[in-house]
Amino acid sequence: MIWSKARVEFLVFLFLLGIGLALRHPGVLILAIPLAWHFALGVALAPGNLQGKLKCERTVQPRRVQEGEEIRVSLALRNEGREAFEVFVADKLFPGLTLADGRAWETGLLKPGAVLELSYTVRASRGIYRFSAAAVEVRGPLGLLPWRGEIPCPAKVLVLPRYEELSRLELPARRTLPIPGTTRARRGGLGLEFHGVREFRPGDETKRIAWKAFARQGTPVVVEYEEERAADVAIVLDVRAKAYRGAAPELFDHAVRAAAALAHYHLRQGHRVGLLKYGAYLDWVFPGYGKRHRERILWELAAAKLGESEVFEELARLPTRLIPAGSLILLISPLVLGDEEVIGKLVARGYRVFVVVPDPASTMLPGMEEGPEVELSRRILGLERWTLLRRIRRTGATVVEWDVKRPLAPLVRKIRPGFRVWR
Amino acid sequence: MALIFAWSAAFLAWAGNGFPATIFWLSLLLPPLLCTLGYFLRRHAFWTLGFVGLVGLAMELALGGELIFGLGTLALALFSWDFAEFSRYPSFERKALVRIKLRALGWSAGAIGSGLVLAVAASFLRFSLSFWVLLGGLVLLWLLIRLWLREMQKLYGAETKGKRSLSGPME
Repeated sequence: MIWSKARVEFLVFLFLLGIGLALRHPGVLILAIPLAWHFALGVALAPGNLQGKLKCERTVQPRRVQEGEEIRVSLALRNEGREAFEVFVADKLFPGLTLADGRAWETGLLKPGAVLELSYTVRASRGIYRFSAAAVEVRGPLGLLPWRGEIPCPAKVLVLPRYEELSRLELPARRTLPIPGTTRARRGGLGLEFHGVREFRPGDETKRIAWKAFARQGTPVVVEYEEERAADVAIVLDVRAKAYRGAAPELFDHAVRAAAALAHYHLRQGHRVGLLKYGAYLDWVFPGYGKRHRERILWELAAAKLGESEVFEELARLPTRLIPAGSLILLISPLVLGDEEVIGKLVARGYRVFVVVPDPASTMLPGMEEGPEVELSRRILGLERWTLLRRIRRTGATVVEWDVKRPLAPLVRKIRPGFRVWR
Repeated sequence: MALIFAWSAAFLAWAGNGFPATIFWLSLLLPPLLCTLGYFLRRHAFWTLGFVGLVGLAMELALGGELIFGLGTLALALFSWDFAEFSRYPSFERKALVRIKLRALGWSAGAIGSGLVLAVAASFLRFSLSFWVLLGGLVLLWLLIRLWLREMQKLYGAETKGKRSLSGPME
């Protein structure tokens, strides 16, 4: 489809020509001449197809940030043709990127070999952003038949969830791995906490001999410490849209931040951590250790989004085969009615379950009015939630109800093994 | 600037008709008013209607024997038409915009001025064409235009269909 300016001009010319010929009026025919000349010149000077004549380079600094931080995006559009062009270049701003400084478009005359630079700063929310192309419009001298296209200039930006540092979470898994860690294994070995004494065996270090007990009993005994080992930790992030329905959109971001904080803490403690995004699909990050694995989990969390699936509508489809027996399961979910049964089954299967419940009432829905009806519905929902959490606590799972306006760290610091918030 | 040209074209048309003050001639305010609407509402359709209206005024002058006024009105309408697209531009540095506008003004003045010279030169030509030569010429012109349109559509990728590749969505 030819652009409207050329089309309109051409049609007006034909109209004048037609009227002039029909009426045999030379004045009207003469009037058509400047229009025809303008049109012909405009078409002759039109830029044509510029794919290949324009090259674009994108610089994004930094490429990996935490949410809320600023990213500087720069584009350099180079004219590799032999003619000068009047160029309008614009970059697409994704939802989630807010312009903080500068502007995402630029215009100017681009001479052969010259570079038109465009630079702006955006503030990013969590996600993986893949820039692919810049939209370019090149206008001819008379504005007829401009060329519009996209010049590829790909770049990827990773915006990780901003998470808090948890200082302590004493919630051991029921089983440990044969790898040194920080979870007490309830068996004698190398550690810090006193575990018991036993008879001296050949090969024991002499410094571990309990001399006083040896003097009392007459046989040599050694002190044993409780062995500390790594454990399996499975972080389950609930991405079911129905679990967040009625809550402000930030609630899910808070849940993601909690998952990131818990993953970071457990990996720092030397545990083997896996991540399961449950809801729209099954997205499982196999358990692993170390910084590289933390990066992998953060990538997955950066890309996490809510979704709906009939298959995973209920928590009952949680694939326990993926989670080793005796693991610590950290479930981050606002929960829905019916989830308590599944959590009870998980506890019965031998998992230690810790549920972080971001409180939907702690985020206000935008535009929500205050009034007696709203207050009443809030109280009803509060009671419903209270009953649900009570049932979950009765199963033996540890539950923390988290007001997302406050930090999570003080809440989890209070938790002790066998801790019951309320029963 | 485009609005100034549009209103000037209307004024010239009014002057060409001898400044009539009848209600009927108030209708010549319509094309520049449409251009003004196009400017403030950023709707190109209004500009198009305004431009067509101004060409209509020029044609009315030419039909009335006022060819010079008609050509002047048409020239101003074309200037207005060329500058109309700057109203689509978002606001940015005045200096850069002035530079672009001056460049456009130069090109427009060149194209329109040379067109006017051609038109005035053509008005001095005296020749007669037989009906069949005229018809043949028109058919040839039509064929050339069809050929040119096809080439343009190829060049500008009008034959491609379906979704265009745009920047990918957020993950």
